[in-house]
Amino acid sequence: MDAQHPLLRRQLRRAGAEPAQAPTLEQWRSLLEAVQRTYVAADDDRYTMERSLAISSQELRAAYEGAKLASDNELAAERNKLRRNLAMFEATMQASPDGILVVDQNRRVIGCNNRFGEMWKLPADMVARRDRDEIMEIMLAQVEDPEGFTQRIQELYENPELVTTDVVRCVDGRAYERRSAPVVADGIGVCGRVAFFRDISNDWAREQKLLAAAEEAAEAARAKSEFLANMSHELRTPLNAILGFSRVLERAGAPFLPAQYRQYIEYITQSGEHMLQLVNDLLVLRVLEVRELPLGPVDLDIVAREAVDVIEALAAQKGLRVTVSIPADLAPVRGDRRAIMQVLINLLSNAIKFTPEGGQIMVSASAERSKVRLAVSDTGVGIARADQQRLFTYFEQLGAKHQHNMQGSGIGLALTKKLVLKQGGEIRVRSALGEGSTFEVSFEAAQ
Amino acid sequence: MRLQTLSYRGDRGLSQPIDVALDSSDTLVLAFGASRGDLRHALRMVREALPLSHMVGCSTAGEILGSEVSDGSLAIAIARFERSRVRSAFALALDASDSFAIGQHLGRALHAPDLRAVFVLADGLKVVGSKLVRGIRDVIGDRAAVTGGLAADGMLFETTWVMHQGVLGSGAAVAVGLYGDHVEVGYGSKGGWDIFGPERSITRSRDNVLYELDGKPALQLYKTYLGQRAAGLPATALLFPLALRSGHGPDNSLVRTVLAVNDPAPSLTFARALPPGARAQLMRANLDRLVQGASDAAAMTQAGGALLGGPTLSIAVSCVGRRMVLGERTEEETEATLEAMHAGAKQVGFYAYGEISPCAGIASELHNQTMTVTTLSES
Repeated sequence: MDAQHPLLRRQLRRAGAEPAQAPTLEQWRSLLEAVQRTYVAADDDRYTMERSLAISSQELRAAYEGAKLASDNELAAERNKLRRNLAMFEATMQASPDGILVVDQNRRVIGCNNRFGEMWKLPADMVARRDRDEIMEIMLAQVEDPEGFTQRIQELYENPELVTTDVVRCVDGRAYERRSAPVVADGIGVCGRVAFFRDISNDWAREQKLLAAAEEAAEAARAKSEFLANMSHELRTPLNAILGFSRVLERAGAPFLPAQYRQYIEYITQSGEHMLQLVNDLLVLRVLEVRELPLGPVDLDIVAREAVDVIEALAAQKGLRVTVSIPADLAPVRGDRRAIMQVLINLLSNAIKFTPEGGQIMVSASAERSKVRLAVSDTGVGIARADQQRLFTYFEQLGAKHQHNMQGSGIGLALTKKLVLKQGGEIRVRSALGEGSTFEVSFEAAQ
Repeated sequence: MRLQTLSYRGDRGLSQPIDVALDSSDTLVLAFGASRGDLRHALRMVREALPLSHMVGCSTAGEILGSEVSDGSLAIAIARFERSRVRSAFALALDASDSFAIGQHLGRALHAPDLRAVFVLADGLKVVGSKLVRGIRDVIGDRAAVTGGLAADGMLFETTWVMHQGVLGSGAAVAVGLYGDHVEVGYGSKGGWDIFGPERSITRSRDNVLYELDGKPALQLYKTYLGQRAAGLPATALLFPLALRSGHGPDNSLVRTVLAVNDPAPSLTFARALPPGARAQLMRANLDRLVQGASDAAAMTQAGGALLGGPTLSIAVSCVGRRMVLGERTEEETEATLEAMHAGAKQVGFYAYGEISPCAGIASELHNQTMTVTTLSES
């Protein structure tokens, strides 16, 4: 037996059987026991194998069913989540007062809301079909600049990350503000674009109306200024005649006239001079509106003293004391000497006008970083806070209504402000009723 | 090579006188002894008879001499190499985390260009065998075969020893290196167990007691699978150990033998710990196949090129789990291994807590529940 099983060979050997001899009864019994044991073990083994195969198979099937169920449930849950998100997205789109268009990176229309359809007058079936070419055709037929419109779309596809806002105008006057932004998904990047169209037609019209009104107002102001300038010129000629003859009368005719008539002539002269001042101011204003001032370094100390010299006699008449307090080393300012002189004379005249007899007027100046501040203070009647805002506008002589003895053209401060601004300066007032006023003018220090 | 094998028993002394003529600096002496009982006297006697030799050994769960398996004895093999060199080295590990380091130490001590084989013995409880082997390999590379085993303590798992030059030590490793072109090394390793059913996770366990696999009572699973064979529990449980895997790779696969079945708990008590989270799979054994596996392991050594007929030392290292399962049929496997050898071969060995052998002919790894055979001869 060449192909003797190794187990049988071992069992024979363990039993002590020699191939050449007949086995003894003992050897037989031992061999049979070993063989019997092997058969039983083989049966047991087979039993275990079969059983474990069946049970393993059951276990694996159960595990598979469990896994499948879990995966199905998960899938269903994901699907529901997706459905909810889609519904939310759709509802958000439809609730928007703006027209919304969503396209993918291949320019396919993914969705648009009904408002979008309304805005672009798309038939309902076209909104449902979402055919890009069809929609584009209708849109292009409505816009004012179809070429620019397509060009802008092309530009956005070439720069997918661009966020833009512009206005699309339609031939029939509609105007839509268009806001376009990329759709960016986690891990995917730019996967489309969303465009919002907001109807700003009404805003547009309103804005146009306002612009037109402003233009009209500016035109009216120009016309008024022109008219005043012309009028001033025209008025100056008769005024000069009136003033000239009244002065002749004052000088030559006075001794022959009764006192009452001499008084009348004086009134004529004073009113004429006031009127001439008014006309001159208007002319200066007109000149300032059309002409620039030549700016250079100006020494405030000198100008201030000259201005005080001019008004000193006037102040002395009312018994007012005028002082000048300007540091000798104060930096020169950038401005026009005559204009600054005019500003100072205007401010000082006002101060004299509104300061009761025995009061004080002070001109001072100080440097503040790159600026120089010039101040004219008085111990006069002061100005109520509510009135201060209107101070620098034409024909607002605050005291005029109440104090008829005050003379003024009503354009003095407006003119002053204009002069200051023309020199790159600022003017403001600090005052309270009964506590005097301080007018501060600041100029740029000269380089 | 000249060869002598003999045994020592406390009551009978040496089975034959030691051939002192075998003593030389190229003589390997292997001594496998019981973990308990006093063998110091006997070891000193052997050492005194063979003072020049490299003497290594360890404690066992059964000593193998020839085809016999004994307990409480000392199995001794003396191999004098005529044309080859022998060296030995010893390393002590303070704890298990040193395993790789002591492997490297042994590797460095034995490393030489003509190193052909390493036979290593280590503490079976305090040294991690797979790391020890990796440490040795780290130094010597893949050229020399590394075989051996982990010392045992019967079925008690309490304390083991390894021996170098007659001195015993715990928590240590000892290795022998064989050098030169005339050394012939053969090795073979075979289990004879099969895994079955799906792999599962250990979801509840404490130390060596297992409660749940995949959240279900482990004992119930055992009984379901065993069916009518569950009636033989706990005895039959020995045939159904558990394969444990704590990571990837073959060296992380361990076998845990069932010692007891606790019905009220319900739980299973194993010989050693089952960490929660590890993967487990049922195994089964057939005694005839185990024995055949041992025979196959011995036959594999012949593929290594051992000369037919010449003096050959066959070192059989088998797993304690096999001895538990085979019981009174244990010697069938030692017979089977010896039978697979030619007549000039002498067999010595032991039942171990782990077997070391080149896996798939490449790297040495720790095996479990295998019969591992190493043959040494000279051309």
